[in-house]
Amino acid sequence: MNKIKSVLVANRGEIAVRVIRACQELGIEAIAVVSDADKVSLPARMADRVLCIGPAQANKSYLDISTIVTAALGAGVDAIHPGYGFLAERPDFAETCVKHGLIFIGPNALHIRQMGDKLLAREIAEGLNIPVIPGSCLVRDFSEAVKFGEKTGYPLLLKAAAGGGGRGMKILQGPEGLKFLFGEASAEAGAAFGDNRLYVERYVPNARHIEVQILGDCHGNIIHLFERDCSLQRRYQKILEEAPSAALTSRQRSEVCEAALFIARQIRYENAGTVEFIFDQDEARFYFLEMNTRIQVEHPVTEMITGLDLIKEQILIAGGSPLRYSQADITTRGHSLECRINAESPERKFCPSPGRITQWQTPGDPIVRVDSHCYEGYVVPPFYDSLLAKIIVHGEDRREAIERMQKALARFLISGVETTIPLHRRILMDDAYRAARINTCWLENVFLGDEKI
Amino acid sequence: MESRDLSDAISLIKWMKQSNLDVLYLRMGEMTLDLKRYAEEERKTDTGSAENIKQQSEKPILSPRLGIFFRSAKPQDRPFAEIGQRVQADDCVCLISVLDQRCCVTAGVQGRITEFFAQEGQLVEFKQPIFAIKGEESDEIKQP
Repeated sequence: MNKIKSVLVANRGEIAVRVIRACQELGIEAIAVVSDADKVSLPARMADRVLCIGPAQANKSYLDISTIVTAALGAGVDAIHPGYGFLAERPDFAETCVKHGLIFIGPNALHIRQMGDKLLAREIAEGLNIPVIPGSCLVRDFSEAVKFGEKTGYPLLLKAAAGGGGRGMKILQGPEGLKFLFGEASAEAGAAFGDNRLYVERYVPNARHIEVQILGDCHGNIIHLFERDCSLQRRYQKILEEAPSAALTSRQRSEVCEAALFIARQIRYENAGTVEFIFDQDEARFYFLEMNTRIQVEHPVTEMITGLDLIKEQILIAGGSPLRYSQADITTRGHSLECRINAESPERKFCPSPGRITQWQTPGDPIVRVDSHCYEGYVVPPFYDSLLAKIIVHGEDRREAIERMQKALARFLISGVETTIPLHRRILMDDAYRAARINTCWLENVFLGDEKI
Repeated sequence: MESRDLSDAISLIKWMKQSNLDVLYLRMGEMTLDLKRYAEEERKTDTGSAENIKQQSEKPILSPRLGIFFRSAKPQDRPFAEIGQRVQADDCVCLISVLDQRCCVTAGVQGRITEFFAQEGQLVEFKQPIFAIKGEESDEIKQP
């Protein structure tokens, strides 16, 4: 018997809608918490109960742990789903929930803390003999980075220890200008994470971003759900994701999935998580990058090829149920793509384009899924990230998935705000993309390279 | 200010007019934009005479944050204020408790409490009306 009868959804936008839908399917009551700017929104309309938790500013609403936990206790829910972003990877949030008798739908605070600190996560992987990119421990100042560069050569990547989302990340081409870049990275990391610790590692120029989906329950069962390829990035933000990766042989696929599973097993990971790797295409080698201790934006491509509902599994696992699948039950079929549609203008340096949506017509083609919180008449507020929708398609193979996505994008009609749909349509027509001859720098340096982004 | 910044600012102002936002504060690079929409009531207050203020009827006071509503500091204590009681603008009327923090909601205006909308120990939302006050002549009308 599952312990969870009601869930507070501590997020907004499409992921709030996604979690509410999973709750409804399980017959669980869903409570939405909204900021003043989100009182009129799809999650508010769909939820069984809505609580306004604060003003539009996220730090006084979606990022306020005490307020959200008070809302959960006041509403009498059993559990909190954090979604992604906001409080999803804050160990103190998971701790506060548990302290007040609430189930946190996610891993425990220890795992969030261990894996959230990139240096600690690297140490854990190294300790398990999983290859990590040759790199340093902390570099306290720029001269230590210069010393490291003399030893290993350039290019190097400077990263924030507490990092994520590309903040505090700088590519170092040589010792020149390093002092300036170090200062910049340190300030960025301090502002974004309240922690300005930095480390350097060898920069892999011809890399693929490969990540493996993990599910673990509290009874010691852990499985992987194969990989996703998220190599199309702009400023370290993923734009278009797919599963499976077109760059891996089946031997490489099982190698990376086994490595991810090994890490998760060793730390006895619970709930949904993703182990990220860099795949060096020149040397055909994997390196552990980090582990994300939450559900990810791009989880639907995994759902499309495996047939599992990850959010539903998250809720069931958190409620104490054993995993319903063994590793042998997990097979994949065909190919899936996801395009993130943002309210941004690709013509104007990806400048955000908030405003009222005057037309919203989603594609109705078969095997096309649209995860979104938007509708005709909805006003996209300027306070939060610009994700409007995710279009996810499935095809028997990559080629069919690409064709299907192109049709779906052409039939997705949005007016009132500018979107990244035209960018996706151009990517899908590109020969290099279609032939899967890309890496993590391709979108920014080659595809958009002439456009001086 | 570049002309593009100006046109961006103008489109933001237009956007805000359509939206239900009252305040917008935006800093992008060197540009700062601080917009505030004046609600009907405030506009009257701003331009109105003392007469207007005197005639002002009951004013609902909204909760400054989501939390649990309490009328006294401890269950056995007497409430901070009763219905009909005269209060000063900075008198504490009730508490909103958020985990282990407690925040005091002041009357905001000088006047008489006419009604409590929330029950003791009830969860109240951000901006939910929690009590009403009938204002008396005063120089200042503040909303928490």
